[in-house]
Amino acid sequence: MTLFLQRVLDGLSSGSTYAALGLALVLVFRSTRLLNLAQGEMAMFGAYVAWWFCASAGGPGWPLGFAIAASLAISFVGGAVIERVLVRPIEGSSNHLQSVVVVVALFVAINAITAWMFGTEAQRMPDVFPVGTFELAGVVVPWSAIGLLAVLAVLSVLLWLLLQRTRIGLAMRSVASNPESSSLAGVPVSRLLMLGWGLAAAVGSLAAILVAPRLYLSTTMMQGVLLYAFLAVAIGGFDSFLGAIVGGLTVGVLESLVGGYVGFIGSNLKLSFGVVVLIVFLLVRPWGLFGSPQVARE
Amino acid sequence: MSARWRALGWLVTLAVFVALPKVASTVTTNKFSIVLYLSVAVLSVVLLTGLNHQVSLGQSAFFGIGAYATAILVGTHGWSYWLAIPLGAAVAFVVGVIVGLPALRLKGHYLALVTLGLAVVFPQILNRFTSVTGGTSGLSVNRRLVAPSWSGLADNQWSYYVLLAIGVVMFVLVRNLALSRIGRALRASAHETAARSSGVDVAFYRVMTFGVSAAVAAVAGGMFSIHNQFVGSSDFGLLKSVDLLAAMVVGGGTLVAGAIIGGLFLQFAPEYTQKLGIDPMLTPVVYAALLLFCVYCFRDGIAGGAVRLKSVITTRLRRARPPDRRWTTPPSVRVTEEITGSH
Repeated sequence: MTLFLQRVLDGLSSGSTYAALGLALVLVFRSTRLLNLAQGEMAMFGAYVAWWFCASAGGPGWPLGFAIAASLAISFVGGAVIERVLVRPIEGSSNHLQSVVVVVALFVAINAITAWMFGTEAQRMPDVFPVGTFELAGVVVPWSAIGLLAVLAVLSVLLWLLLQRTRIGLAMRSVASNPESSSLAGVPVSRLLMLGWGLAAAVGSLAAILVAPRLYLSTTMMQGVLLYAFLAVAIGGFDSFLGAIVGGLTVGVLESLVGGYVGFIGSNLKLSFGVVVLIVFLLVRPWGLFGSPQVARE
Repeated sequence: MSARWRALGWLVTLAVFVALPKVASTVTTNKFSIVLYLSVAVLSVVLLTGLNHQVSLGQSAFFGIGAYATAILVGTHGWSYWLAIPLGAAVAFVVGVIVGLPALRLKGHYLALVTLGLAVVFPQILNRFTSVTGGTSGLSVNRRLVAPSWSGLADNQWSYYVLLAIGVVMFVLVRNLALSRIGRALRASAHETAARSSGVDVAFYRVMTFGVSAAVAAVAGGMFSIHNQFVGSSDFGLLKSVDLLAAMVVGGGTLVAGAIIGGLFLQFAPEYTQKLGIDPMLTPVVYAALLLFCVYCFRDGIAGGAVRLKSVITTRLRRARPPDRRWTTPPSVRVTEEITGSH
């Protein structure tokens, strides 16, 4: 039983990073109707930027907090610029081939540029949360798990406040539900799409920064995380923030339990199992548990 | 392009490929062996993306399934290549159909996502079953094709001709498929409503194309094993799929001939970008830039662009001649013009 609880806790802590990246995917999907396959690579770049800012050798050696803030700011601007320059020209195009090719190109370009700028060796990311653990009913609870869940909670509340309690949030929701009418009502649609991408990039980078101490910084570190995050939003619904959070935590727990209890799958086939579940979900319930059907089936 | 010119084009291309080992060095012949299997791999993307308008990032995995099936069956179990390659293609077909199943309900991004997943997990699956696949250290085949004495060819030339023969068979098969009733249905599936109203079962064709394209990629993988005599899990990652997609776009997805241009591009472009002083680490950026350029400016690639250029030139030439009203204005318009003119 203790082992089971331990595994659930481990799952929740990695699940919160999947949920965070899932929130980024939902932000992009709601604004531009794209599955941003490059979100993980954008986030990975953001994590490298944070690492570089606090590195004493080769970087300016800033304190971690400043480095993270700088990385999030750069990610926000970068995400907005990517939307403006690369996504805007194909905005509203019914040819999904074009938009897929654009995000794929973005994926490989960011990956190669990161490797070229920061080198291909894996780097050690400084811990964001205090190291160490405490024991609760026989379960070893690392502080980082508490920290990750707390960050996810704060992030969710901030997003909720932004979307439900501000004028900009109202405008973003109106653009997500009907871009044409919003545009006719004087909502600056294009600028809000840029904002959506910028926010998504910053949230994604935060997810990568939080996951980096566990996985080490490398150019491939986010590929698995991205797939889990996509599985999370497929389960939760591609246009639902709540779905991304519930889905992310579910995926994290499932990953931990399946990897721990099913010997054949183990740690090597966990992700393959995830892809199989993804296929099943897309086949059976493409709009997820919390999503809206027509939107997801477009 | 008239059918006669097209046939001539095919004959000249074939003649060049046949004559090549006789005139070129061993190194060049080997490079063109690579071009042959890459062309077949690009052909699988042309079939799926160019004709049927679906994107797959999982071609690397199908390519790998073919390569590994061949390497394991021939190298470890001593099968003949001619049994191993079709079996690899059959396995890839089944996997392709399963991965393509979401196409029954969804398209575009969702398929790209599922196939991205396949591309990412394929190397992991190889590493999970290291005892069979050799894992990260790879697997040697050690069964080079030996030239029969009557041919008077060196072994590498013989292997080149075998690959050429497989390539020709694959190209003829795909070309015939593209020109048949099925091929028309595949192309029509891009315009879903119109296709459905003409009785085309769009979803069925999408899933089947996924399977067939996977099988073609697996044959290319078998050719890879014949040529390289070695497979390693790092050869079949996501980047390979993106390479193939870029090659398809450069070659022009609407023409089967574009696959050959794509194969040549993949083999020779990295050499030239390196000569231009671009760090080899940045080759993917070059491919990405090409992909973006083609999306924004030049939608049907070099081969398609050539066809379009030709049609632009010929229409310009036609316009330069005195206009022939009988053919340029449709009859109904002419009649109204005549009526209004008489008033």
